[in-house]
Amino acid sequence: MSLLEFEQVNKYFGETHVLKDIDLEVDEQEVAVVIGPSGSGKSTLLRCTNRLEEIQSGEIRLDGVPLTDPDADINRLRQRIGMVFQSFNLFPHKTALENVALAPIKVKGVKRDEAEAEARDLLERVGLGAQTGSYPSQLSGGQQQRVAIARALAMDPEVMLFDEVTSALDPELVGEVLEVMRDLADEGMTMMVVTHEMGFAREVADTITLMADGEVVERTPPAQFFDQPTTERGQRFLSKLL
Amino acid sequence: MATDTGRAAERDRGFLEQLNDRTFRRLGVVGTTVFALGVAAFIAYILFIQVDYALLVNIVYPQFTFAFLRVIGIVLVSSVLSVIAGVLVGLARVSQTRVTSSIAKSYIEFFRGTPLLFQLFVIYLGIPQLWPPGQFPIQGFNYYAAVIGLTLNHAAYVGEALRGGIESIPDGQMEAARSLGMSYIQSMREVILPQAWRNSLAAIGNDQVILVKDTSLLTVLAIPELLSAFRQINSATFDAWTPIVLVAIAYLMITIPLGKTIRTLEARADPATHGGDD
Repeated sequence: MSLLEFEQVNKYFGETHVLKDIDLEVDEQEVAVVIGPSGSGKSTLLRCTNRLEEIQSGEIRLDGVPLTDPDADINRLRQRIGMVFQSFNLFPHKTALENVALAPIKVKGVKRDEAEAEARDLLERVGLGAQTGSYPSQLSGGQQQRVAIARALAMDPEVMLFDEVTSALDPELVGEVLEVMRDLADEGMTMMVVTHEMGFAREVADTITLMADGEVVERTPPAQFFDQPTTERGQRFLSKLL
Repeated sequence: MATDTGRAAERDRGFLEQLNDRTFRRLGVVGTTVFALGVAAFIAYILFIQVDYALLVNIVYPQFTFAFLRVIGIVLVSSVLSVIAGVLVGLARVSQTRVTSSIAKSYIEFFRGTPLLFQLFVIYLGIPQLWPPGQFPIQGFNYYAAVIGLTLNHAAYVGEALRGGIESIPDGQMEAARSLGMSYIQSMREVILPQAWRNSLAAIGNDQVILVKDTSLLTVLAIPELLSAFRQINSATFDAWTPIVLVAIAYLMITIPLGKTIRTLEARADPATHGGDD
């Protein structure tokens, strides 16, 4: 059984049909990279996965448990899904350390000392051991995004969702964030990554999912995708990138 | 530097067009100085000629001191209650639940849309009439009515100020908090409200200063506050300026430190909120 399953997922924004009968499975330890032109619904798909958006029909399951069930304990399920946003969304009134330690303390009831020790380790892991006391406004975009990754990891999630996490960064800061993500992938984290970074996709992804107009068009290993996409839509998308 | 034709052109332009920044600044200095000197002369005239110091000493204590303390007491209670109630109104106002938010909206519309004086009468005269004549059980209801009226009225303003503060926080903050598994209440308390509070502090502080001044309306509830004291002394002695000076000093003794406290709170809230990409 796959860790994350999408079955016949449909999502509308008013009249607009943004996700059309999405069927998708993400296995444990898989790095699933989702690409596609803007407006293709890939970010919406991620946001539906932890119910920042509600779907209108179909089902999304985490380890067999339906996330999209209205009676599901969403706060509990969200703890198992880490999310990193394009605009970082760090809490500006809290230091890097406090950003990371907040949810473990408040949600999991971890003692403050323990949570802060853990947060320190995580910040160390993303290369920010020296910035634990800094406020987000004192950090570069790349540093902020790495704090955001550490913050998501602090809840010990089973799967991590990355929503165009390098799109708001200056080009020279993209590398440091991708490196952290690459390390995570190497450690066996299950990841769903929406990105425009084709180098990262080719190198780190286990599968490439191409979305267009709210549909999954193609789902292939990266070697095959970047070499010779099986669909005509995939070929067109790729030709525009080159 | 300017040529003759240039000067001619300058002469042709109107006064406002000719006004350069330096002249404008000088005019400002002259204008404000003249004004300040005029006011100073007037105050000196009042203090040295008009004020009757024998009377002043006589009325400072006990009459004015008690009125002053009474105002402070009412302000403290209503201020605390109005901020607490205002936070609840603000939270209800931003609620995703239609019923809750529209009730909060109607509340705000009513209390901001009718005069406080009227609201005080509704409570002070209206409520006791719900009992059979002579059977209203509360003694000294005018004080309760004062606190209730000021609280309900200012809770509307505090709530609206807080709503503005909450709505100025980007959606991403709530999303980030929720995606970590925090509940709506936890996200509000830990993430949204601390930031919103800082954003609303100036507006809430402004409202609390107005609350202090609104106590002057309590004279109609037969509460011997500062303006009642003024009117009593004025009608007994026909002296206006001696009690006027005392009233002004008494209000400023509350509002100036209050303003200072708010600015200190704002300054202290600042370091963590400057900048930030989100």
